[in-house]
Amino acid sequence: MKKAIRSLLVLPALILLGSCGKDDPEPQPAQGRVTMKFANYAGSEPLALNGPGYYLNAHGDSFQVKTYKYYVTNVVLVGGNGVNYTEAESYHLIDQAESSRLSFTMQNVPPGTYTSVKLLLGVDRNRNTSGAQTGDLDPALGMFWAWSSGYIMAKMEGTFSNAGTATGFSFHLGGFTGIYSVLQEAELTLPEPLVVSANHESGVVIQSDVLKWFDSPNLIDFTVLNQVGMAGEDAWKISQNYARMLKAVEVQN
Amino acid sequence: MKYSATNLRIALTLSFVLLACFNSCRKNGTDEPQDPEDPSLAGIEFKVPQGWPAPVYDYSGNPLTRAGFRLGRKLFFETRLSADNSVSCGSCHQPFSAFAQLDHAVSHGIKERLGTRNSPALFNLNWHDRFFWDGGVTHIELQPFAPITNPLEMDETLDNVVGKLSADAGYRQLFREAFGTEEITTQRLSWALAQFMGMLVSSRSRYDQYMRQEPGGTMSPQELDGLAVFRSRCASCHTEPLFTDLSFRNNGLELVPNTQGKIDRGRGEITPLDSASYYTFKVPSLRNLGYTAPYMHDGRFGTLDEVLEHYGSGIHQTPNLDPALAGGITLSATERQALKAFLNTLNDEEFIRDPRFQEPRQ
Repeated sequence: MKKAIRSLLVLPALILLGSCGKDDPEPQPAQGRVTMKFANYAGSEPLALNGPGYYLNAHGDSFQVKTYKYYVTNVVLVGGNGVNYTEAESYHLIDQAESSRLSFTMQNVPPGTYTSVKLLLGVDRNRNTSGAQTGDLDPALGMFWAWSSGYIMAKMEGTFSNAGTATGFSFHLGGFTGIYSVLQEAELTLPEPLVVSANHESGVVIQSDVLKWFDSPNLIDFTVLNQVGMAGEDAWKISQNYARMLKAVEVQN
Repeated sequence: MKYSATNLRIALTLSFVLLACFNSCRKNGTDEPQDPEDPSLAGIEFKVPQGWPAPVYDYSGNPLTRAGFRLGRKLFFETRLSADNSVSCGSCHQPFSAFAQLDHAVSHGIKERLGTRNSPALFNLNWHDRFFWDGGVTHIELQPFAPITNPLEMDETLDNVVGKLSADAGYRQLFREAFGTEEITTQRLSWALAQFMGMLVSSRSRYDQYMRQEPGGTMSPQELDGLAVFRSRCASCHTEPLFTDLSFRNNGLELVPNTQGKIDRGRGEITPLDSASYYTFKVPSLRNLGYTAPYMHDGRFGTLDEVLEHYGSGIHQTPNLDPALAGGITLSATERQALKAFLNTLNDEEFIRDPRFQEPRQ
């Protein structure tokens, strides 16, 4: 009888110890990974910061780019079978000057076939007003307006030739509410289906074209517009243009 | 049960097992400051005063702890947040002035650069949904980035601030105590500052004691007359208990160029597409006026008499003048004296002397 009681006393201890540990996760089907790679271009040429060459915008202004950064967020892989993958905590700063900020890898993508990529160019409205952020949303990255809370969704700085004189241009494009919000959604059809397999890394190459910032529907003349530093119609006009600047050019299965 | 040696051994083993189990089950907390008797760290909890509305700030992403508060307080008085290490938040937001800057119409940043607006008194911030006279900042955690990066104020970059703090072993330790890691980020910096600033609650004035019917909460007949004048003439904008409705209004101030030579459009600087917002500024609280002269967004009125003179006969008919002020606010001499007596009861001596809110000595 005493031995039985002793054994019974040990049992609750074992149960308690067992419940203290992490719960064993449900076994997951193996997932894949997808790396999104960004190649920034000026027309058909890879973008080179600070020259030595000059690019020509649709208006005929020749210019060089010294800074080119933009936010890609809320990424969704659209499945061929109607099942989508939505990346969690999907906030990425693409920065032409930083090789580590020209790609990102999405984890835990369910195996399957995907036919297009949806994304938001810019930081969604909710995240703009949710308090201090970190990682790619860290205001120390120079893409946040401290005086009027909100992210700079896309930034391009450089110089253009103003009748022979090098003149700076600076486009800091922000604003996420009202008629002049610069937030632009894009859905990029993949040139071929993206096949994601368990424990395998696939890739998608997306090109952006800086020339598309300045051509249509709003033709930009640098001698007229070369500084944008707050939300408003000018920022919105350029965002109407760059809404079409991305293209999925390659799938790496 | 007989206390045999075997049973005792079992009981002891079980106790150790249970203790070990509970210890491993407890969440990994952060280290608490070593001195539990320190009055400057007593009672670090955010409490909503009786009868007050619900606050805006949500602590769930940034739980208030003594270590976080202590770090935030140290940062608030840290001059290394400025480019030449000379100016801290506390330079222009002084505890004895209810965290405004006494006797300064506008403040100086580094290198004697002159600002354009009066340093607002800081209290009851957790009830605000927009910050600064123009409401340009939409979250208390985003607020510090503005003065830190403003060339007229601290003129520093966030990268440099993080760098300076990270190079200091003392700060790395404080961040570890507050957030469990020595990795200093702008997010943790602003969380700590929010923990400090959120605690600056001013709700212990004589008026508050009177409203809560607490001992010491007596008002003289003149003060009660003043309360009646206040409620009938001022309360529509300076709503109790915050003594502001936190809206943006034009109170008829003459449009004069600021220290940068421009007419300040106030809220209109933030929403220039909305012309109805031009020349409107956030309604300030009427608490602690005894400590926070001069008054208005540019500190143009040195005394409450000047303010009441303005409302009585000095209102300018500028664009977007608040309809409630179209005819001014005319007070008899008796009413004016009573109102001033009442406003004095809003001065919160306990707040400005609170040991938790003073500049740390170390």
